[in-house]
Amino acid sequence: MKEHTGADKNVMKKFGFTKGDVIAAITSHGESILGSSFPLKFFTVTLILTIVLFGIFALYVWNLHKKLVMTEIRDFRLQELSGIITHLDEALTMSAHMTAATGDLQWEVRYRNFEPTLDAALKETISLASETSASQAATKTDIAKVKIVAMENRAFELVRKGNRNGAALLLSGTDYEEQKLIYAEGVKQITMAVQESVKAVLRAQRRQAFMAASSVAVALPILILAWFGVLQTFRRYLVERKQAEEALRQSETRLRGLFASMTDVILVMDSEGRYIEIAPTNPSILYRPANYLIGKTVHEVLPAIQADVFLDHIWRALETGQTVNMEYSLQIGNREFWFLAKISPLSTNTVILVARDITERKQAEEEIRELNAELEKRIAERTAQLEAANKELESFSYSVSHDLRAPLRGIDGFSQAILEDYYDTMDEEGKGYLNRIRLASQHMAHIIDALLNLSRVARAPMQHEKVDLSALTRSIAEDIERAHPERCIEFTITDGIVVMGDLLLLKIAMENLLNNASKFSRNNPQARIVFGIIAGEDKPKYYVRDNGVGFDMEFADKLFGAFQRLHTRSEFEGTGIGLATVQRIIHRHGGKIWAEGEVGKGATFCFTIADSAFRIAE
Amino acid sequence: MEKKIILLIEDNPDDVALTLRAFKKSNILNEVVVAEDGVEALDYLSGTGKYGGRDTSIMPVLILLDLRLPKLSGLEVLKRIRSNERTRLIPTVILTSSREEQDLIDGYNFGANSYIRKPVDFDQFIEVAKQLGLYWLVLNERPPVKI
Repeated sequence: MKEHTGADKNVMKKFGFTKGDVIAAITSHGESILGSSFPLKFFTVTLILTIVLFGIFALYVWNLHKKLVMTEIRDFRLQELSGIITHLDEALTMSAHMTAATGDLQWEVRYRNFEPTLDAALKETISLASETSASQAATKTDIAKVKIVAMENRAFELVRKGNRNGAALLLSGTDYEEQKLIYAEGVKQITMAVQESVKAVLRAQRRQAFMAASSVAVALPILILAWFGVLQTFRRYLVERKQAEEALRQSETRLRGLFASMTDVILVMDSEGRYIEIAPTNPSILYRPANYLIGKTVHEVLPAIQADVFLDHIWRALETGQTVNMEYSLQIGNREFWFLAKISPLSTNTVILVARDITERKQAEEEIRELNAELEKRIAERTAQLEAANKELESFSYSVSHDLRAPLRGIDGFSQAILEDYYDTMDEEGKGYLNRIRLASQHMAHIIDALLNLSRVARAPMQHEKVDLSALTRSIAEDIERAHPERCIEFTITDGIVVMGDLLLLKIAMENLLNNASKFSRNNPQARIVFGIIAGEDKPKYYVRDNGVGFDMEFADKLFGAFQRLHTRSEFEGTGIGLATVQRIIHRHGGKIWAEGEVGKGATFCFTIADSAFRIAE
Repeated sequence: MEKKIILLIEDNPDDVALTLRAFKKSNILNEVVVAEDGVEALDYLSGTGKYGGRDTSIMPVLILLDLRLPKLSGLEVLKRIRSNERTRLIPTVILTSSREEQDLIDGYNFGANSYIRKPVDFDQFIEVAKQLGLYWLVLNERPPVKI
């Protein structure tokens, strides 16, 4: 499975994807790939700035315009009023004078007609002028006018009493003239003040208009620059968007290719086991068509038990935040398919599930399991057979030990009986034959014992203990000396040679080696037998050396075979099994044994032992 | 005088003949009763079967037991001898061809007093018979059996 995952990674690398890309491609339609967003903030700020600035300008200009219009109306009205006042004043003065000159009261009527109009004009002028610095002059003018009107009313009364001269005198008197002068002066001052004020207002407004124009002149380039910036950003945004779309399209194409090359089933599921999305991969087998699955939950699609297992794994992935593996089988058509799903958390409540058809692997595993079972069975059978064979061998050697010896005892015993009971009636030849029969049967008994030893050496359970080979050899040497008191053998035994092994087996081996050495050196009156050790490269070598008859190295490999003999029975007795037994013992101790020799110069038997940690005892 | 009977349990007639000859040669003149298999040996000891009506107050002073026997094996016979109140103290020597370690262990475990391997060399066999007779019939103090 691990190799498969590696292969997936390689494919994705080749296509220039990471796992994240694939997931992003499945889960969204590439929004995450678009690098820049629309420059909304910049645009909004610029727009608001523009609206605010233009609003302020518009308000300002509107106010300016309103003030200008007002000033214009007032100025025009004041000029009009000034004309009316001058005209009416003259008309009234003339009417008063005409009344005095002619005594005709018809002029008084006319005077009375005009007088309120003048009064109203004067009042309006005063009220208009009150906003200017002309209010003082207006008050003065009003007082003078009241006095004039009072004098002219008195003149009309004088005329009505018939005193025309008095009236004429009054009207042409200095007092009247003086008031007239004050009045005229006042009107003039008002007019001038008003004109002055208008001028001031106009000046102020001109200044304001200039200020506004200056502000616009400053603000406009800023706004132009800002809008240029917006334009540039927008253009860049469009270019980037186009590039991103292109990249997205390319990545989608690659993804499609990648998916098409993938045989895994890739799903996105939510925490309820609902199929959210299915990647357009190319699985060899699908449980149900993708459009059938989308929007359904596992419980609607799979058997309840399996759906529970699915959900359980999904929750585990979500809880632990780790990828969870799940093996499951599905019945598709008539066949059972096996899948391995890897479920990884994608968000807090969705997972991505990658499932692979592992039916073949499962089948292979099943086959291996069957093969193994078959093998186990066969091994058990063989073991049973071996055990049976071993048992048979044991009972065979028991039979050999017991039953083969019995007839030999008979042969030997009855031969001896004949020899004893019929000694006198038998010639020497007959006695000789009977002795040969006895020797032969005894030799066979030896062979049987040796064979039994050999088989016992091969199958006896081994102990693993410290064995002092030096002490063992010494005790065997003593036995040999006791058995052959007529001989004089010089034993040289190196002290402190200790190995790990089985005491009984090693004793049999050393007995055989030393008995051999003793036997084959018996023709040497100064027989020497040496047991020693040679420090080897890895393992020490132990040796038993004699100065006996030796052997021809040509036959060295025959020494250790059962029943192989290098000497005739008449030269040296023996069964031909002793060295085979020694070799078997050494082999069981994980060692090797070999012989070196030369005819007439003695023989050396060297051996090693696997566990010779204790080469020489301290 | 008390009869010192030797019970020889041995199925091989050759071995029986040789053993008897060896006793004779070693001047062992005791009566020897031969049982050819384990069942016969037990019959003799309990006075049943072939030996029905035998005076069972007379028990052998030594039992020589071969291991390989028809019907009941030597070890089985030994077990029976040792489990019977009347026979369990009789000196019993295993006299066999076998040198199998397991036979040795079992023999001693079941209460054999000695374990002797029959040698092929008849001269040695006579020596063994002589030693046996000397030891078990003369030197060895038998238990005070009330029979």
